[in-house]
Amino acid sequence: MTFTISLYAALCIFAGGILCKTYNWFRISVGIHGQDTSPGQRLLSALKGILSMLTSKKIINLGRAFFFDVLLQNRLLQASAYRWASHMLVFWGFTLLLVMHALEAVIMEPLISDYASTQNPYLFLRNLGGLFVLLGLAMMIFREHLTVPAKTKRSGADIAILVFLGVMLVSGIFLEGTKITSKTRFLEMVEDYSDEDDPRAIKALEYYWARYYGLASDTDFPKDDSRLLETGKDIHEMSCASCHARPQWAFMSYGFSKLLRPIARDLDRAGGTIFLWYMHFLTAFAALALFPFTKFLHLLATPLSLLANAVMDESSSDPANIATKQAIELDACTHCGLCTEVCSVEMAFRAIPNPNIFPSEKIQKLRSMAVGGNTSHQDAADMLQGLYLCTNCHRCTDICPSGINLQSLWFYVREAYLLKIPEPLVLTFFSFYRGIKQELLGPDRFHRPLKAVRKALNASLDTGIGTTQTIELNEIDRQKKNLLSKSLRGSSLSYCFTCTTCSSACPVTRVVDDAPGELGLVPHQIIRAVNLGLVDIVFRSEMLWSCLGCYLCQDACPQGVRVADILAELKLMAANQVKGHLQKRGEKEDLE
Amino acid sequence: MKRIAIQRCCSTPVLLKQYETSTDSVLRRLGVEPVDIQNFGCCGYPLRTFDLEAYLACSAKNISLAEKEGLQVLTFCNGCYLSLRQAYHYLKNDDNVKAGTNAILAQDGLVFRGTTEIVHLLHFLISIKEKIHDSITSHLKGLKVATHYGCQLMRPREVVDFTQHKPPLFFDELVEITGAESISWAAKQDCCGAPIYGLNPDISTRLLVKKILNAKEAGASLLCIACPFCQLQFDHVQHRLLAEGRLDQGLPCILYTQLLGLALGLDEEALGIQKNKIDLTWIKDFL
Repeated sequence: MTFTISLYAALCIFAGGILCKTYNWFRISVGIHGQDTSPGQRLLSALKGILSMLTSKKIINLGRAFFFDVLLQNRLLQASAYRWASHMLVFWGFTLLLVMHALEAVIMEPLISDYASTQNPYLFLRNLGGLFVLLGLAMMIFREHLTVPAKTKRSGADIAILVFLGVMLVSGIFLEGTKITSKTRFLEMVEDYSDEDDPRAIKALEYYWARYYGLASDTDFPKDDSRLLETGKDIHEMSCASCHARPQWAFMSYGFSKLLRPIARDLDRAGGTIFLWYMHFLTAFAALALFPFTKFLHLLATPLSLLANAVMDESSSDPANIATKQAIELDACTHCGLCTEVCSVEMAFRAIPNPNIFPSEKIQKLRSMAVGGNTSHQDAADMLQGLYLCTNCHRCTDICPSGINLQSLWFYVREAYLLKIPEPLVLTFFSFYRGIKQELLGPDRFHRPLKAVRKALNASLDTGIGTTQTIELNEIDRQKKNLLSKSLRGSSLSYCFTCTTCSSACPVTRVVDDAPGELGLVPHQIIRAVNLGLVDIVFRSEMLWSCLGCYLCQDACPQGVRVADILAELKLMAANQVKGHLQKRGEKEDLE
Repeated sequence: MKRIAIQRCCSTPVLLKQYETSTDSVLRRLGVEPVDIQNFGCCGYPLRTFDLEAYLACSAKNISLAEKEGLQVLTFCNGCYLSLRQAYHYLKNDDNVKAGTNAILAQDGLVFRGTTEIVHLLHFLISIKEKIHDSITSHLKGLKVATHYGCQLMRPREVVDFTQHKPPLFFDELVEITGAESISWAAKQDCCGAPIYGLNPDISTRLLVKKILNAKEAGASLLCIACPFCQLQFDHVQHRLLAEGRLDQGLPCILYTQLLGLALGLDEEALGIQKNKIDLTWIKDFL
C-alpha cells in the first residue's frame, strides 16, 4: 500500500516536474535570442528544426553523437580518463539495475517468458551492476576529497546526487543480504512457490538451505544429518532449483549476509528486512520525484545538449532554437568543473574575487538567476563582470563533457546583460572580440554598451570641471593626481614640460582632422591636465579611450615621461571610478 | 631538439588557428619543439587597464610555470610579448610588486624568480637565421612585401628586447631569406588600429586604411604580419571594409609563419593559407 501510494505520488511529481522543466526550456531566454518569441512559437520552431534535421544528412551526425558522446561519453574520455571510468561505471551499472531490477516488471518480464529475478544471470548481473555503481561512486568521492581545487567548491546539489545513489545502492544490497538470511522470507517463499505443506519436509528444506543457501535458521538441527540433507535436496530440486540460483552468485549481498550472520536472527525477528525494504524503495522514489529538480535532470538535459550541439550550426539556426538550446544547456551542466580547470583567465580570480569568472560557477549562477525571477543589481553586475572577464579562447567549450557551447552562451548572455546595465570592462581590450564579431550584433547593439559606460563614467565625474569656462585651481581636488603619481606606472608624470612631442608622435592625432572636437585632449594636454590635478577632464576626453598603447609617444618623449603607461593607469583609474559609481547607484536602486 | 614553452594567444584558437598550426609546423621543421605547458593561461594583456594585480598575476603565473620547467617562453603575439615582458620588468625591478604577486602565486604553489627569458617568435627566428637559410627549399621570387612589425614588438624600449635589434631590420631580413623583396614604406612603424577596434572602430579603421594605402603606394603586393591582432585587423577588418565598399582595393596580408612555411615547403594544411579571409591562393605562382 505504502509502496503503491508513494510510487504513484513520485511518478506524479516526476511527470509534473518534467513538464514544468520542459516548459521552462521553451520559455527561458538567457541570451539576446528569442526574447520576443512565445514558448509556443519556440516549440514550433524546435519541431520544425528537428524535422528538417531528421530528413537531412545531419541525421548521421545525430547517430554518431548518440553512440559516441551519449552512450560511450567520448567527450568525457577526452577530458579525463579517470572521470570517464568512474562515470561509465555509475552510468552503465545504474542502467543495468534500472532495466533488470527497477523496471523488471515492464521490461524483463514481458521480454523473457520464464523470467525470475532469482535466476542467473540476472541474480549475478544485478550484483555486478551494483558493484559498478559503488565502485564508480567510490572513485568520485575519492577524487572529490583528494584532488578538487578549492575554487570549484562542491555544492549541496553535487553531494545530494551522490548521497541518493549511495543510499539506494547500499540499502538495496543490505536488503538482499538480509533476505538471504531471513527465515521469515524463507517461509514466505515456501508458501508462495512450493506445494509442500508437510512440516517435516519444510524442515528438511530449511536444513538444506541453511547449509547451502545462506539461510540463518533458528531451528536446532543435528550437526550432520545426511538423510535430512538428502530429503531437503530432493524438495529443493523439485520446488526451488529451477527458479533460484545459489545466493553466492549475488556476491555482494551474499558477502554482506555472511557478515550479518551473528545478528541475522535477531534482525529478522525485529523486521530488519521490512525496514530496509522501506528505506530502499522510499529513497528510490524520492530520487524519482526529485529528478526534475536536482542534478539528476542532467540524465535528460545532457544528452539533449550533446545531440543538439552535434546537429546545430548556430550561424544558420533559427534564433528561437538557439534560445531553447541555451536554456537546455543550463540544465545540462553537471558542475564537473573541468571548464574552470582549463579557463584562461581563472587566475584573475585571485585579484578580483568574483566566482562568476569561473565558467563552472558562472553557468550555475546563471541557471539559478534564470529561474529565480528578481535579480539584485549586485548579482547582475557580478554576472556581467564574470561574463566580460573572458578572452573567448574556447577552452571551456572544447573540454565540456556535456557538449555545451559555452563560448556562444557567454557571448550572447553577455550581450543581453550589456543592453541592461553599463559595464566598466567594456572600456578594456576585452572588447576586441565583440568588435571582430560585430556583424553578429548589428551597429546599434554593438555601440549601445560603449555609449552606456561612457555615459556612466561622465555621470560619476565632477560636473563643474571641464564644462565651465574658467577653472579655479585652488578648488581642485588633487587626490586622483596624487594617486596616479604614486602608482607603479605614473611616477614620471612631473617631468613633463609640455613640449608636445608626444602629441606629434601619436598616430591617432594624425588621422584626425579636428583634434579638439574629436579627441577632446591630445596626449600632452592629458599629461598637463593631470599635473594640474584635472583628472576628470581626462576621463571625459575621447583621446584616453582612443589610445592604442602603441608607445610612440613614450618612445619620443625627451623627458622620459612614460606617457602611454600613464594613459594605461588613467584608464584603470577611470574603470575603477565608474565601477564604484555603478555600485553605489545599484545599491540605491536595490534599496528602493 | 630544442624545447621551448609556447605562449599562445587567446584569440587564435577561434579566430586564427592557422597562426598556431603554421608556427608549430615552422618551428618543428627548424628543429624546435614548441611545448604547451598545461595551465598556461591568458597573459593578462586586457587586464592591464583594469586591474594591475590581476594582470601581473596572470603573466607571472605563466612565467613561473615556464621557469619550473626550465624553459624559455616563446610567443607569436605582440600583445602577449609586451604583457609578459612588462610584468617581468616590474617584478624584477620592484620588490614590493614581486612580493605581492608571489603571495598570489603561492596559493597555487608557484613562485616567480625571474630566471627565464621571454622571446618573440621573430627574435627567435632571426637568432637561427643560418639554419632557416639552409632549410629553404623554394624562393618566392619577385614578391614585394611590406613588413609590419607591430608596436609592442618595438616599444616601450625599456621593456622589449630593443637594444639587440636596433635598427629594426630583422623582420625585413627574415622576409628576404624567403626570396621575397622587403620594400621600405613610410607608415611601417605605425599602429594597425587593432587595440581600439572594439572601442572606437571608426578611428581604428582610419589607421588601418592609412597603412594599407601607404603600403600599396610604396609598391607592396603583400603585407607580412607577426601578431594575431594585427593580422585580424589587416585580414578580417580589411575584408569587412572591402565587403562594405569602404575600401576600393585591398592589400592581401600573410602571417610570417605562412610565408616562411611556403619557402620551407611545408604542408599546406598546416599553413592554412586558404583560411585567410582575403584571398592568398595566388601566392603559389611565386614559388
